Amino acid sequence: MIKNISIGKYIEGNSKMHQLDARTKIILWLVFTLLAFLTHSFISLSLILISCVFMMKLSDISALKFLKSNSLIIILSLFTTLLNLVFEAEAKLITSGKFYITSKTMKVSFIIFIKFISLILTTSAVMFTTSANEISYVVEKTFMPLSCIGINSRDIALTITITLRFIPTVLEEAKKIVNAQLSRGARFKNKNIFKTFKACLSVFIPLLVSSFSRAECLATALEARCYSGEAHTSFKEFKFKKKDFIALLLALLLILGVIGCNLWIKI
Amino acid sequence: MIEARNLSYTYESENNFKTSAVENISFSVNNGEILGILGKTGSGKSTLVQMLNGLLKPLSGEIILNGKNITTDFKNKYEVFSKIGLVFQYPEHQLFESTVFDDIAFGLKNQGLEKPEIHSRVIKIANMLGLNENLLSRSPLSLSGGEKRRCAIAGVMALKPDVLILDEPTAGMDLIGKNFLLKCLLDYHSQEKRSIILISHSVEEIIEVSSKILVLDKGKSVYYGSPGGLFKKDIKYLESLGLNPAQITQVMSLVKAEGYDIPESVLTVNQAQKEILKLLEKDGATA
Ligand SMILES: Nc1ncnc2c1ncn2[C@@H]1O[C@H](COP(=O)(O)OP(=O)(O)O)[C@@H](O)[C@H]1O
Ligand SMILES: [Mg+2]
Repeated sequence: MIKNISIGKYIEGNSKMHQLDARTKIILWLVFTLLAFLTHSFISLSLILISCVFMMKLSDISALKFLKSNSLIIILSLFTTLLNLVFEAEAKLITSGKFYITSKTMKVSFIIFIKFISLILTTSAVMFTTSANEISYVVEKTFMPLSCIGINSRDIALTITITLRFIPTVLEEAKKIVNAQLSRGARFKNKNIFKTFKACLSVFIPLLVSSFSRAECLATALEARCYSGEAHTSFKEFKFKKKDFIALLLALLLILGVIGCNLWIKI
Repeated sequence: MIEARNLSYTYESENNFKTSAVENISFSVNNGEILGILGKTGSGKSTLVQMLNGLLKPLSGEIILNGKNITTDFKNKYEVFSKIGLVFQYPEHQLFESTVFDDIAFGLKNQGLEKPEIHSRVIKIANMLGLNENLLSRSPLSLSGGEKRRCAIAGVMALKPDVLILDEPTAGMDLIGKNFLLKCLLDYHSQEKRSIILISHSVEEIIEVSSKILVLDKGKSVYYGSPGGLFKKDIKYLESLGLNPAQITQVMSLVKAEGYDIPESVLTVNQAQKEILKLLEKDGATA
């Protein structure tokens, strides 16, 4: 389960998606996410889903990889969809005991499922192809104007980089602590809720302690290496290329398409 | 008695990169015996012992505890965990209760034992490990390094496992702390008469207490037998396995180079003392 998280999982590569500027990718991600959230029409969601699949194709990362690294979320969303399907109250289409399925709920559940999948696909496609360094650089540049109200964008960027960097480490550590607590008699599956709670606590507390001590070490190390929050230069050049304009143009087309669908086609 | 038969384990990473961590390892430990496992960092020691209590599923091979296969013949994995107690490296990182007493009692409570039984076991084990009664009501985080370590080990010992496995229990401790912990382990061993598996990367530390020694190198077993047999090995060979010989070994190999009749590798001070006394007696007899 711990392995099934796509955040902070950059995969080295040189696909079309990799070549895009990080800013473009983040804009694409925002556009896709917002569209998927805001529209409810079946046809425009299909449009979004198709674009997501296209984006995935452009990242040169296998569909299997996408499925594998998101299996947990996909199962969760399937589960949510199913709940939706069964518990929504409407005119009954199929009835079995207490549960029934209606044509309306079927449609709503299906739409929710498409939304989930689109979100998962874009998020992974961007995460897999953008390194933590690039993300932090974009964040730093974006929040630069905030310096006039005393917020240091470099601090925010560094916090994000470090967080992304340490997610796998902390997960690894959590796994180790779970194993160690199992070996000394913790019972995670217990009829007694209190004992289950205690077992979870036995993982949570040591994890918190180690995270804090790690954070402290890191802070000292940063200070020792003269970190002051001042702007720095980046090794990678950030420049909009032709590809970026094409990508943004396509995104604009998608927005127009979705608006058009919502205005003129009613499904 | 615990028996490992042809155990192998391979780690698989994200991009299907495979590391063979343990290859075809077999050994057995009788009740009341201590098995010492030696090997440098990365030789597969931790992987091996995590298979022994079922945390890692072996790629091939089986583990037999008192005639029962641990993967097939037990109700559930929790039963195996309580029969084969594994103390991880740096176990003090897993302390979490508000008092030392509760931390030692954590596993016992989960086993559903009666209060008086828990109380007496905790007191007994704490005593054995030199944690006196006024420490028991303190927070584990307020203890010294050595005390924390012993507190964490006590939590597993209290479960009275048939086999107690300790993964580098003395890692990062000073000499006094180390010796005290080893003395405590020997006390436990002589009182409980159960099997112990002791991992270390220091030969000196475990060679005298072990009934058998298993040496790992790159996941393979390169020596399995009596501690005495290890003394017959060439010192260069031992060095190549990462068993960094103690100073006394180096001194004694110089003595041997002078032409005196002593074993290939003298691994501990006690043994060196015996060998030197033997030499002196021989000298006395010829003079
Ligand atoms: N979680 C893991 N994932 C991948 N490889 C691992 C993992 N844990 C250990 N290894 C590899 O397995 C080998 C044996 O490691 P380990 O059993 O920890 O050795 P030891 O305890 O003797 O230092 C090493 O090469 C190590 O890099
Ligand atoms: Mg180890």
